[in-house]
Amino acid sequence: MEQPIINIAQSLKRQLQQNAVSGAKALVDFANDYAVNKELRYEALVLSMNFSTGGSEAERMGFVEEMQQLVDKILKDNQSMAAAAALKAEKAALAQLQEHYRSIPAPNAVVFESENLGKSYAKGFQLKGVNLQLREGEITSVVGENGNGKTTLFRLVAGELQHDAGKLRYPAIQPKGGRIDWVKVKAQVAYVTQELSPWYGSLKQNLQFEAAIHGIKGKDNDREVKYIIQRLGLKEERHKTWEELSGGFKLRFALAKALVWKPKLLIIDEPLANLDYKTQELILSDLRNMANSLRYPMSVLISSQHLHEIQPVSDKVLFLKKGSVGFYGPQSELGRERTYNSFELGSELSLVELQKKMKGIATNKIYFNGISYVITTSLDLEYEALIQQLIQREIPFYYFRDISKSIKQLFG
Amino acid sequence: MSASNNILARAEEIRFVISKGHVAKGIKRLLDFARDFSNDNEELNRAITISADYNTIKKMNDDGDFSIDEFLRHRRRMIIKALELLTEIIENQPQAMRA
Repeated sequence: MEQPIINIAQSLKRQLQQNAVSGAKALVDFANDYAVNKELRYEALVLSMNFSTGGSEAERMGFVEEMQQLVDKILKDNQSMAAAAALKAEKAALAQLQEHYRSIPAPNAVVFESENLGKSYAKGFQLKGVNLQLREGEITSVVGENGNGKTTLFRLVAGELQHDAGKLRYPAIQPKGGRIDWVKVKAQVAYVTQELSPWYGSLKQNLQFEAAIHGIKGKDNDREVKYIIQRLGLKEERHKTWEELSGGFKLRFALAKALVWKPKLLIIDEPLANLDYKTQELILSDLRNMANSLRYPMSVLISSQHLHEIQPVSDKVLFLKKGSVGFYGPQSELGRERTYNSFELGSELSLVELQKKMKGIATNKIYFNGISYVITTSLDLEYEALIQQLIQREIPFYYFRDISKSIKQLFG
Repeated sequence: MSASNNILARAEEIRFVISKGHVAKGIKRLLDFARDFSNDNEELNRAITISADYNTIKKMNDDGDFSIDEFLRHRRRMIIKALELLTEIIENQPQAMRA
């Protein structure tokens, strides 16, 4: 049986007193469940945020007091027959809305696929046997060191280079198949190269132009440009020229130029090289969210020399070595075949001291690779368990990294 | 990350992100939400304006043009506007009005 609201309110007030962190979260849920007046729900969220980000202890205590007062206001707001009926009707409407959208399948159409795709160069390098399928809403990462065929593959997919082996298709762009209509395909494929070309004029003018040449004109042009400027955080830079922007903003601008006309496929060659970690994370998170759009989904093909940089946002990974595919599949399957775990550890201890301190932990091997120690363990001993053991045994270290799924470990 | 067609989870994600103090990120996700679910361009235009206004007050605060109280007051106003728009986009869905 459902608890009376008064009991829930009293228990929430006690929770706010005893554990305000969990109480603040519970207040937002309480407001969503019981406040008819939507302003009270907004107030709950703002107070919860103020508490989360609040500075001094006194400030946070003040927010706790305000949160408790809000519980009383919500209680009062809920005390009528009309309130119960309104909340019931709202819940029913939301359930219906949810059902409607859940009946629309999330975008997943195949934008590009290849069979045994290949390209040979007169100087001897050969890209071969690439079977790739790119779907809307998915991010596919191509990983490999320089000179292993990443850019060649990207140029083939973008239609900038003629393949000389295998087949390629763009089903979501040219559903009927047949001979590839490159004008049609290129109108839906955006390719951001590793070396960005300088532009003339301001960033905003370039975006307006780019949208216009893809048929977005008038008010739509204005809105799409404003949208992409806001979405990629370029407002302060919109009047700047090429020379006035840092490397990170040049890349974001190149992305804006590619995304302003809503392509179905975005190909982006090593965008993260030379960017700081925060900027990398921001760009990847923007790509992840924008690829996943319901109304304008896209497929993203991205490359990097470092798997760890792009793995967190990738749905699939393709690893290239000397022009051949070493692995292609869901990123969760990467490294599934490995027989042991590997970790790097930076410590001031000597090898003998470390081995002594780690005696009893189920390690296979400990050795020094010239920069740090490498510890290999059975698959049963994972990151968290090992780090816990290191802490428990008071083993001093300044660096620790799980390299079990690194390119070097997996592909040599 | 919520599935693109899970409208309520996506709305909840925006509220959650804002409640943790990540207002800029929440507003970015509101832009995505408005783009996917708004019935007319007016709602998307409003999301763009909210984003632009929030960035302006953030910049002014970073430049030291606001006292802490002023910034909190302006930020609160922007958050309320964002939450109101989120609610309106949901309530303006034709499917929601039939229940």
